[in-house]
Amino acid sequence: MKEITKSTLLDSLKDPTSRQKAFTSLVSLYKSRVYGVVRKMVIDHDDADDVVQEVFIKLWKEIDRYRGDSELFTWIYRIASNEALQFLRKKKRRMLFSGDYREVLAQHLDNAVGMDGDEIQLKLQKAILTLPDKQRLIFNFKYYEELKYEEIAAITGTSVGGLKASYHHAVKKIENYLVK
Amino acid sequence: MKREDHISKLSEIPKKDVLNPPAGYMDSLDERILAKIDGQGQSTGKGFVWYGAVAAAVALIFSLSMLLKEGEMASPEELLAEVSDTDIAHYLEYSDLSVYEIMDELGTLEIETEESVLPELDLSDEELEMIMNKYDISG
Repeated sequence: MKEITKSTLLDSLKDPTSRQKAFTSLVSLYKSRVYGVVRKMVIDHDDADDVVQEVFIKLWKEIDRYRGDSELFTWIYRIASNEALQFLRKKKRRMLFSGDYREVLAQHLDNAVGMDGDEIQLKLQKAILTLPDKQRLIFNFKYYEELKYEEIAAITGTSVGGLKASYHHAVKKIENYLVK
Repeated sequence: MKREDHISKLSEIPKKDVLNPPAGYMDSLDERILAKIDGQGQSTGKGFVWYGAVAAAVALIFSLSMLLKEGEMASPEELLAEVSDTDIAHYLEYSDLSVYEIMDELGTLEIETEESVLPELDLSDEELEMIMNKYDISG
């Protein structure tokens, strides 16, 4: 992934006089990617909207803590991943006695804008939903975002070996679901 | 492309981002985020929510500690039955502990008394957030 404006953007983010303007650029640059990562995890658009806004609010609050020792997108994706996983944990907990939250996510898939009656895509999404949340996150980063294992490792704090094993296992599980 | 009902390999499915936002969503997103950030500079009432959660947790712990003080070692089910549903729901809403974890804790840990818990609850929003984040990471 290109970090074309990284150094200037970072300098501007660190400077209180230009911070607001730089942050507006950051939102504009990353909103689609952050939405994509979050939406694939929480599935429902309204939930994704809430989480995406939380991600950027957190980024704003934590700008001073970002030291520039990792890529900017790594830091952003890390916060987006954590917020999405945290949202799912809360959702799971709220639904502890009322049903399986994965079934609810699957129902959102059935009604999702953009599916356009594409049965195989819907089946693929449902197959991905059978994965545990963190494995689903890893799968999405590798398959959809086409990130390198090293990049995913920096985002998730998991070893490259562990990520490879997780991804290949995820692909197997998905393919098993597809032939059902 | 193979017939859809014969697809068994991921590589046979066209890679396509199907979970897209509604039309026009991205156009207004920046503005809404920046407005929210501006709003956060003022009082948001978030502290009230935190204190509500802490109050519910205190009520839960206090109720359980009072029951334990009475001498009989009640079962976790009996202990939880004494706490109102509202308190439990509020506690679970703002805590990352699952019911199973709570039951587990009740079975193995000594519950702190009112005196030992209350002085430690004089925490700032930041400290509370750190504690909650810690549970999220380990959860």
